[in-house]
Amino acid sequence: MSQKKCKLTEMTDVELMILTGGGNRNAFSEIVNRHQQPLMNFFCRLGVNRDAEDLVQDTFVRLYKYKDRYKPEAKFTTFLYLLARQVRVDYIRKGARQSEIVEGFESSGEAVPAEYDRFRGLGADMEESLLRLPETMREVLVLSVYQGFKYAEISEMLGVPVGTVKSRVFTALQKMREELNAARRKN
Amino acid sequence: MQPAEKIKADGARCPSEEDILALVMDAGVLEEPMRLHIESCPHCAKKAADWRSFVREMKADAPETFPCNVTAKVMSAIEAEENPGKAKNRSGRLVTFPAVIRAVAAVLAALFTGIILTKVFMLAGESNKKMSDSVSNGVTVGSALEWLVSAQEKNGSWDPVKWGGKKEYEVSLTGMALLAFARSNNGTRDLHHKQLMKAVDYLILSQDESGRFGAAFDGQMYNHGIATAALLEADLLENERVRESVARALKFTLSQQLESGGWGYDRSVDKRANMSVTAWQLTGLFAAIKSGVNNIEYPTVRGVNWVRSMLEPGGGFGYQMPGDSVSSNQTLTAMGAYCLLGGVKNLREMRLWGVGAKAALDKMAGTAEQSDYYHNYFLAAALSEKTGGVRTPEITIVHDQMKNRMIRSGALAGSWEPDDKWGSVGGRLYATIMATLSLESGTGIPQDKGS
Repeated sequence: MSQKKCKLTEMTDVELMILTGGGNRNAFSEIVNRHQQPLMNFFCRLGVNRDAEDLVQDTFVRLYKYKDRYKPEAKFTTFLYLLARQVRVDYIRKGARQSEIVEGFESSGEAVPAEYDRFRGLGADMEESLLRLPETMREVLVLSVYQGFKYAEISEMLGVPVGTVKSRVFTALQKMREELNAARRKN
Repeated sequence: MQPAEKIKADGARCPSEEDILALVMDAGVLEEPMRLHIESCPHCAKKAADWRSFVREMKADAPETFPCNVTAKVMSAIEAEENPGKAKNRSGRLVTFPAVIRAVAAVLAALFTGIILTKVFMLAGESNKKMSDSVSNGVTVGSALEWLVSAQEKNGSWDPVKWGGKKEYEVSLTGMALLAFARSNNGTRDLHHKQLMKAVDYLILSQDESGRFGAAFDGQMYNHGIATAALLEADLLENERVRESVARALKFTLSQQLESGGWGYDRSVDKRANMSVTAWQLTGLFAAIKSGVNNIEYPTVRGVNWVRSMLEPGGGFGYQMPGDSVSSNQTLTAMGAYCLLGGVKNLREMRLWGVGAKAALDKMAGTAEQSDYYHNYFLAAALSEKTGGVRTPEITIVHDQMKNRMIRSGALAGSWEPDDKWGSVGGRLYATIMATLSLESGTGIPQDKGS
């Protein structure tokens, strides 16, 4: 048993998915072990908070359901995070009814309403600054900086051109850098 | 897109800053000549170095890990999904039958809790102390809620003046009563649905155009914060009228948030935040987050950060600044711990807030004997946040205190004497509701709504 387990840990994600498609649950268990932590970080950094663990679980269950659709030519992590995004979109849609409650806060595409401009940079730290980014920017930033995806991979996940990804990453980082520099100058 | 800034002597154009960043990010989009240019051009290399430094700082400042271990749950979920499919192939109808039996059993079990226990005592004979503690808690809460039902006015409010309190806090006390009903178990909620909805109607009618609940006066934010929290915890956002009211209420809450991140009395008069008013606003914001309201995290983070800034070296909390509190020290400590732990539970910043909360809880060890209802509620609420609602010996001390002090016979049976320092402000309603809320915190039963 331990020799078999050792083999699984040495396999690539693609190999494990092929085995999973063939009905090997141990192989899938290894995939979960390997990727649950980064996925958890992904959801948390996008601000999912309390339900992050549930979304991690849902992502893997969905991955298992799609085990027959996974094509080995596709990079595994791109496929996994594509599913993770879908799970998150479904989660947001489920809560969309409640999101209408705070109307207008996203009307300008800003995560923070304009009347809070005076608070920008006050006591800002990296996490607060990340939280203040508009959703679309925060997502590309988390995928590129924290999850380490290439722009082409992010482009495939989000269904937007590579140029758009490049632009969003730049704008997001520039915004954060300016805020943090302003906060430090003030302090 | 940043325009190309320089032209080198050999005619090669410097790339945009977006491209320089793409190289730093190892984004895989740059062609080799451009890469070589960035690395060799002093102007571009400097920009790349600046970006590298910033991205490194970003990664260093981010929390390294969020604990996650879902392998067993995932495999169980997969097993559960695959098994019904197999069972159906064999004998389709029979698969559903056990599920129906289980559902019926669950409904019957729910009926035997809360107020039904006081009439039926289906768990009589249980010798397990933990279960009997839960039963006696349930009985006490049931009696308290019955008393509250009897004290409710026709318009849905609870009138503090009738019970020794001050009129201007009618909205707060109605909100608190609604919280007590909202936090009771499902069976009790269903039994008192009519009273709960009358309270909701009253609160919505008390709301003005600005979204504030209740009239303007220096204590307005108590009325507003408590009413907002209560409407959210009542879990009625399917109702459009409630949803609209909550939307306006949250906007008002955020409009009153001070630059420091906390909340105080009327901000047009006093710009200082205080722990007590802030704690109630955060109660509402935590409930909003639990209800799935988006874009409420940033103001909540600021609020919890303000609470953290009130932390004193010994683990206590100040009222408007660290070290300023005298007589209400333990209550403020309980409030501060509750806010930090609520932040940990509902938001992401686990490191600094958790440390502060632990210091506060250590300081509060042994204070459950105090007679202050306000203190005991926030102590029970803080401990409950820490344990995820599970009963501990410390919570049991608070519960036993409350149970021992309830009036058990006569016209006032089910209520508590307003014999602490806030009794003259909130009267018997305050004492009864705070005691009830204490008993509903940390009951040992996993809660899937409210606190």
